[in-house]
Amino acid sequence: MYTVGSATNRDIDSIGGRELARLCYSCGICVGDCPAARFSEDFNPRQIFLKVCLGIGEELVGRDSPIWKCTTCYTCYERCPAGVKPLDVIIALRNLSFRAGTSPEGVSGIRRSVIETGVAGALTRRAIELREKMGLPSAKPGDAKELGLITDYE
Amino acid sequence: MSDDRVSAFRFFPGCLARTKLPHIEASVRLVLESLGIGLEDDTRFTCCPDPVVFRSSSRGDWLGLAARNLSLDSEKPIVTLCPGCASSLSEARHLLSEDPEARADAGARLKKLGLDLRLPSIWHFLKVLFDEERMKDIEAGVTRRLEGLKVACHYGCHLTRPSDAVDFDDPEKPRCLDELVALVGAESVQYEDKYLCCGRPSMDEATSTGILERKLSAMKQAGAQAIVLACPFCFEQFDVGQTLLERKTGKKFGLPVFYVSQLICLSMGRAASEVGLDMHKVKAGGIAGIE
Repeated sequence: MYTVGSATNRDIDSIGGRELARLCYSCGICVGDCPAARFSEDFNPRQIFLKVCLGIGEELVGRDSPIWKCTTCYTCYERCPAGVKPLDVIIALRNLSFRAGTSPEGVSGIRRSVIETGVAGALTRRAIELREKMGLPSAKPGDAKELGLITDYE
Repeated sequence: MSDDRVSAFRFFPGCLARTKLPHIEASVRLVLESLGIGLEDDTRFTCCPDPVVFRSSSRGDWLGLAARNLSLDSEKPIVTLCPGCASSLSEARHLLSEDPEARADAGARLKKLGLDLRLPSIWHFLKVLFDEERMKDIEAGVTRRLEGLKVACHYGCHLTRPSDAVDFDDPEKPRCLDELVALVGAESVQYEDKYLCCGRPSMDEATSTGILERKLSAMKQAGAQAIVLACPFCFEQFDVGQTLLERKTGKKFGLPVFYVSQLICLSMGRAASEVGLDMHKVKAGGIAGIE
């Protein structure tokens, strides 16, 4: 079973998340033009890095965590003067949440679709017909079965 | 005129355009082919995989699947119509070049498939078009200037970021769409929050629609008649998302969405049906002489 607490810190370390967050000196430039911070009440990248750094980020990998509000726009990534790579920290937290079974439902669905069929989202009959009508090549990816051989958690 | 201009690519179909927006793929192929660019297809390409949802499940798996797409026995450059694919594959490529640990991990995965790591160059199709000579070629092919059409350019995020991996246009103030729009005779209106995200990748609906409503309001206020963009996810957000938002709030935006390749095709005399404008939720009919 997945445990939080020290395991969280160790796992964040293992993905390099805390290493990155330690570089943060709380200047707040990541918050300034952050779309998710501007359009929601509880998403604040600076606070996320501080919690990760202090090892008190357990709730960040729990259910309904604000980490899923991030739009992955990379504005913070471009501007961070300390080289935190804020998005990498958030992705590390999301990975832990997925492993703990607390990520939003859509994540495992899209993951399964990609690994089992090669594409995210169903290739419907309508799409196949439309592609033919527009003279586009077949959209069915080949060799999709092999994807299961190179992924970790199934 | 540089001799090292790449003119043959493998076409990377992505996921959303492949499964739901074939008309957009058709328009991008038409533009590239009209410029004499050769495209090869390879059905072994799977999802890039996406840098947002799939990568949120496992960064290692994301890198492994991206490395597989990069390593399918060819060094020929890859072109895609999706900034998500271009950004994801470019970032994976960057990591695989710079980070020995990432390279070793992906290498071990590839070994199971009998593949050797390859690092072909990755191009969003706008990077192919945004070139002095090719811009001249596009301008020369315009037979119907879209005079009087006022559009709001939306760049989104992954087209230019992360800039250390993507290396295209300006990551804070890109201009490629504005210049292409001017080339086909339309006017790009300036609006507040022009460089703001579309909101779609947020997995929180209130955040996503809050951003969308802000963008649409600002575009409308600036006098835009339509939106021009180059990302399938932004397209869905502004086309389908706009329709749902109008239904939910009772507000009316009425801003049809063009993939920039559709706009170029129309200016080159192609019919609306050839680029599938009838498949859009927000209809474009009636503006700038478009049927």
